[in-house]
Amino acid sequence: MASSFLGKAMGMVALAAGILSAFLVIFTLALTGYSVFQRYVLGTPLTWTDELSGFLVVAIVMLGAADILRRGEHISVDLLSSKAKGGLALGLKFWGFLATAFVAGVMCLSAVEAVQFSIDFEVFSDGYLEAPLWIPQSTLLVGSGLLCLIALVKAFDVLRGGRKKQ
Amino acid sequence: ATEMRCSHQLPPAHHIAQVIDRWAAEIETLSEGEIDVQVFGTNSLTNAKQNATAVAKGSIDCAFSINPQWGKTLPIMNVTLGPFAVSRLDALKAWEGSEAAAFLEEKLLTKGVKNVVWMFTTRSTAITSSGKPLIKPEDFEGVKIRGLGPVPDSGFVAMGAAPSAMSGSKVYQALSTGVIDAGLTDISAAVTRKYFEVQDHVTVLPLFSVYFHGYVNPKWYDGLSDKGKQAVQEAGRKAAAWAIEASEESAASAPDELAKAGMKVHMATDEEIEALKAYMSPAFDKAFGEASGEDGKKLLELISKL
Amino acid sequence: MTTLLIMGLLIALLLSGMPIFAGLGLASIAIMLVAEGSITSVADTVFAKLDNGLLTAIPMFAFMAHVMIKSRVVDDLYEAANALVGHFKGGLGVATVLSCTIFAAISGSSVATALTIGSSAIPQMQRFGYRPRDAYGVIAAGGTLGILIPPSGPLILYAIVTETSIGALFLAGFIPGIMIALIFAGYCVFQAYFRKGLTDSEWIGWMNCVKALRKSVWSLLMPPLVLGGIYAGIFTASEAASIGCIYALLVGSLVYRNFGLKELGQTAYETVRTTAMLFMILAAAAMFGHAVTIIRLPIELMEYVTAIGLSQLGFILVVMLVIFILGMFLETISIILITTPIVLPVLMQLDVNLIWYGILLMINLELALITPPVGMNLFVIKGIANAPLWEVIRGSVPYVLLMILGLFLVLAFPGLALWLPELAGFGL
Ligand code: NA
Ligand code: NA
Repeated sequence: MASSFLGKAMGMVALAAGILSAFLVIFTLALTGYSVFQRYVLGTPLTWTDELSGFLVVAIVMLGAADILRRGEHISVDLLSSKAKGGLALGLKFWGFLATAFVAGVMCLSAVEAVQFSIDFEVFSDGYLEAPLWIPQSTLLVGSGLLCLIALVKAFDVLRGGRKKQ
Repeated sequence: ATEMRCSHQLPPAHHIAQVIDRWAAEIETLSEGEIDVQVFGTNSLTNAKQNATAVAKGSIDCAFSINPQWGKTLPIMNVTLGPFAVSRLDALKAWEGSEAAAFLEEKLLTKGVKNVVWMFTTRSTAITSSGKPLIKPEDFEGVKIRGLGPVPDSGFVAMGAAPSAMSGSKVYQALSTGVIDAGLTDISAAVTRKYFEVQDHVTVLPLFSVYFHGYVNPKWYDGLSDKGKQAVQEAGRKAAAWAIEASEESAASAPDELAKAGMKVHMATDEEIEALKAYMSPAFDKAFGEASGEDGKKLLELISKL
Repeated sequence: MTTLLIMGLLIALLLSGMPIFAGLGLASIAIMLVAEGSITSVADTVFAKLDNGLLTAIPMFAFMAHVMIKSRVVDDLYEAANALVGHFKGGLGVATVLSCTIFAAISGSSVATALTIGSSAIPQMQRFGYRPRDAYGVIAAGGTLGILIPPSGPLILYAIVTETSIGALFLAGFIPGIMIALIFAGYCVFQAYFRKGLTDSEWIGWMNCVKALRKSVWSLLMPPLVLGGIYAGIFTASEAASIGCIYALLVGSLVYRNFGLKELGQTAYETVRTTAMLFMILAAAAMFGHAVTIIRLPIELMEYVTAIGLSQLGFILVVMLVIFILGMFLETISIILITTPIVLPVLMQLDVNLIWYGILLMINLELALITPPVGMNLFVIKGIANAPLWEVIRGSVPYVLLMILGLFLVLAFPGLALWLPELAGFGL
């Protein structure tokens, strides 16, 4: 599909986020293995790994989400839409990306507010990490922001592709 | 009517969950229908971790938290977790309306929530274990025990234990899988969460008090009529007493029930308590002081007046 | 009325072909805007849902599955099952069910089960002349056993909400799980008699069977390691999953010698794709759950049901029907979290055994995984087979009916669920 320069650049950013997310998966695996090792081999259970794992889940999902959209792998119910043709099919595609961009945009704006709140009210995580909560929340902000941008680029591409054909 | 949506994390059968229901009904009665209280338990509306934020932002109107949940965000909330510090029945009864409570309410406002009710749920603590009881300080050496957070755990660390904090709902599994060797809980929870299935010894002692406290969004509260505000305040006063009653009642029958379920129950003697206190108190005071600074000192003073 | 309106809106959004998470998200945002005029809670709800260390069990099981698939360890498991029963009429389907059952004893997730077995079984079944839709159906349904046969993430969640024993629930899920597997296997054999062009694989003789079993020993060791680790009290579920991963990595790199750093990177990236896709839906389902709870929809539904005044059996039947309908639209975790606290007081009042109810709920949630429009296992099969959703749904229809049969059997004979835990001395 024809894609703008900006679209390609955004795609690279999404891929980079996806690869970072893959590293975090390996890191999570190593972390859990290390925690078991500490408990059974060294007899000193770690108190912070479970909390960190939770933050890692957020980061893995949010950093991976845009890349999945770029690859067109977010699952959908294509019962009817797969049967649509021509203008209707394009329209549905456009609508789908627009809706995705909207939901991701709302998530992102709300995440901005959440981060702002955590900074203003000095909120910390409630476990042993005692991490300022805005840090893990930022992955939600960045991930949903990227997801929104990729969805907009995709929607724009659908529009351009549609016009070219006519 | 003004809606008052309240979130809490407790299962419906928990004695505090039942006090919360009674408190909600009382608000509706006292406000003569001005306030419509809707209680959502078991984390069904919002998650325990997000409760305080959700109320401060106004996405819900009201929620309950257990004091250790405030963690580093508001470390002085841990004050009742001091070893054997605030666990006398008369101290708990004097809590509602005390200067100490008022001081904490003021601090809670800086985090965006207005406190409206204090519900003590524990002053009788159960320390459970397998194979041998945990009674003397040296028994705790190297024991992986359930923790409550960095500050409250400091007393156990001083005895050489390795505490690891987790929510009450995870303890059973952690005990059965050996993630921890020993349980630390309010004695009623040792019964309801069936610790007796996975542990065979329990030491009962007045180690600390834990409370659920209910708070509302300040803007929401300001929007109430005077009658509505009074209803909330009055219901809060009554519920504080109900919670102590209900907690005492469920704690009273717990040791027998644990014994019946096959656990070896040991009620700590005064000497044993003194021995534990000698290790635990200095460590807690140090950690609490470092975490809470001047505010902590002032609060400890107010607590001593209870 | 509101219920119908909301369900209609959600269905319309989903049918327009947008990503599921976007449809769920859009519906929730619409509800929140109408009811609240505010969407401030969105990020907090999503964050609170995803910020849970226990959830790592799912990517870790997915990672393990990807490693075992890539290093072809699962192929050997599947081939051993095939060597043993594949030569009977319909035996390939039976082998698939058998593999799902074994893998269900490794994994706590139905999605992981369908994902793992599906990747090897779908091409194999098609090669032997199975209609694609029949292959999709048996794996989508067989995969759901993952949450009924222990270990099971949803059962743990239910135990936590109701304060029932996790050990008792795990044992209670065992016999119904095996029973449903047998029903599925029976149907595969029955179905084979009515299909033309179905070739059977050949009986390869006992020697070769032993050989195949020996080859599959590495994957057969997995359940004792993972489940045994949980039962013996060595690991939590997410730790067991990670240890399973490390085990699979060791087997892949040292025994099969076809798994290196490059494969590790690829596998991690594939894990991200699966995880991000599923957890985005989980996050949006949390938004949806929050939105409908705010407008008290589930509560009113249940209050209505309660108000009619039903007997124990009548109440359970109605609740099961409601959950079946909710199961079409919501994912399992949300259903447990939304319905259980509401029906629990009524269940206790009617003196319903909570372990038994937990198993009924779990079978119903298995159904939810394969009923459209939102059925996670349907999506997984669609994802790995790159098939139209319609085909996957059509293939799953008979299994929906069979699972309803299983649900009624456990409803009629509570002993199926309660016998094992009672035998083990849980006072129920
Ligand atoms: Na399982
Ligand atoms: Na479904």
